[in-house]
Amino acid sequence: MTGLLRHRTFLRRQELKPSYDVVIIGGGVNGLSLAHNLATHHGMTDVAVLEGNYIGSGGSGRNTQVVRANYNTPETVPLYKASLEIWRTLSAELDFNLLFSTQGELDLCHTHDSLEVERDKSLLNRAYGVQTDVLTPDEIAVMNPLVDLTGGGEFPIVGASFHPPGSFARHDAVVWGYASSATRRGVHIHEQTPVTGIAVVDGVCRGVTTDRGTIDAGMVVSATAGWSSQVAAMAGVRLPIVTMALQAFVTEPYRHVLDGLLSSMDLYVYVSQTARGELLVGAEVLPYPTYSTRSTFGFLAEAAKRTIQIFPVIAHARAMRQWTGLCDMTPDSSPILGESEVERFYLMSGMGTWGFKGSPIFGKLMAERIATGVMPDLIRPFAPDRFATDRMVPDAYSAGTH
Amino acid sequence: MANVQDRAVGLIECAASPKALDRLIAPGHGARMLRVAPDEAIAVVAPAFTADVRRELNDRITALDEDALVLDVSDGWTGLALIGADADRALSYLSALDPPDGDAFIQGDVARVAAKILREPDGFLLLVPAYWGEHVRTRAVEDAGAQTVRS
Repeated sequence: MTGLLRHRTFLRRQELKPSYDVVIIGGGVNGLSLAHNLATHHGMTDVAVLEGNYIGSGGSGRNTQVVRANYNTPETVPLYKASLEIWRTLSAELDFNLLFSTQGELDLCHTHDSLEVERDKSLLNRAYGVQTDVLTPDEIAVMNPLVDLTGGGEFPIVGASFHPPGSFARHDAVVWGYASSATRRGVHIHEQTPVTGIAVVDGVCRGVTTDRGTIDAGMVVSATAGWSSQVAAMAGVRLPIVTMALQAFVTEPYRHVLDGLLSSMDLYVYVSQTARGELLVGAEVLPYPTYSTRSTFGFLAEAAKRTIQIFPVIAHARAMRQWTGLCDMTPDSSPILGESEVERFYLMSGMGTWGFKGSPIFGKLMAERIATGVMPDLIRPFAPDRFATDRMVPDAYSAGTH
Repeated sequence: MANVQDRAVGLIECAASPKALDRLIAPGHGARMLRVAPDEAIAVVAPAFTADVRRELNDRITALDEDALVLDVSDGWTGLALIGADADRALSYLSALDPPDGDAFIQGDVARVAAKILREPDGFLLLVPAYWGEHVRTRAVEDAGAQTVRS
């Protein structure tokens, strides 16, 4: 295990300089995607990524690896569609095999209300060139004969939506791919370097304090997840974020039984099979705010029960491992991307359950914003001031689980 | 009588080369070092000292192996104290493992769950993955006749 985690394998250790053009707080997929894009596409290499733990130790290494574009608003569909397009060629761009695999996503509906929402979603997705089809129960049975159309006898399935572009990417590989690409171009990644303060002078962000010393910075970007409200508070910025926990578990590995993602829009549970053969089960965020990453037996029992109702073969599988990640939930379930009220202090925050799938486009467009000073149209609706000006992008239905 | 009781513990995982771990001097603050694998050790410590022990371990092990990794993994575990005059008998209902002596520990199957068992002055400390805590507590009560003591 330690071999995989060795710094030396992928990262060259660098001296912490007293100043950088850009300091990125958070060594997860979004911070590293930003660093990669700044260095690769804008020639900005005087960049430091400060990670309090090891890279990918937060949500980036704990998510369930789902990539998709079937969102529910005119703002989010094109954004995640653009992200999905980058995902398809990202392995080549990073020169790192991300194990990207397009297998489709099947969202089951047990009520006519949720099927109606899926129909609306399908129409909206198609309007933006994203394929999402509505299926009948008979079509579901053909697509996946292992689905229990009776929903365990309690929740009969009345239809589904199918999103063929739904994909997976190996989350650790994405972290390492971005990190190795960024460092090859001169970016410094400093692990075990928690930020303890952010210097703001006359409303302008000037640098950060770490437990290894202070760093002057031309600009600072918070790309943390789980603790983004605490980091922003260091700069005097109050974020409308509630941190909640999301749990998942995997079974022991089995031979291939499931293609793509199978989810229930009413039971709030989903299952996929990893490249290693484990059946991976996730559900909705826990209904209370917490910073604890302690996994619970209650989740395991409830998520397993619900999964058995839609995919009964899993009843015979043995749970092997369970884990918890933190999700920074915004009031509208959409990310916060842009410059904060403190000049030169930027936010890539509020990544909820959508940070992994959006990371390629979030990094690309935030790099463009930082390098050119021009806000790209695709992320303009996600500016931090949208809560104060009542221009939210409500998309909770898309974002509650995977 | 045996009692089963939640026990808050801090756990610091230390992954490093076997050679470095062989030479590692255990940290202070009453930490118990468990060498769970040739390239992995876990420090068990009172929660109040978790941050101090993590820092101390990090300083010591990175001086021996610059690629060593020290992580606070407390959230991943549940500590259960199985204590009282009948603690040995209660443990025998939960596990076929021979109880450890002195400062030693053993790891293996407890109530069908992978666990680490540490000897304590008044019984045992069982360390199990966080999500199995409730299951092992229930088994201790129902299978081994322990009384639950809520902390």
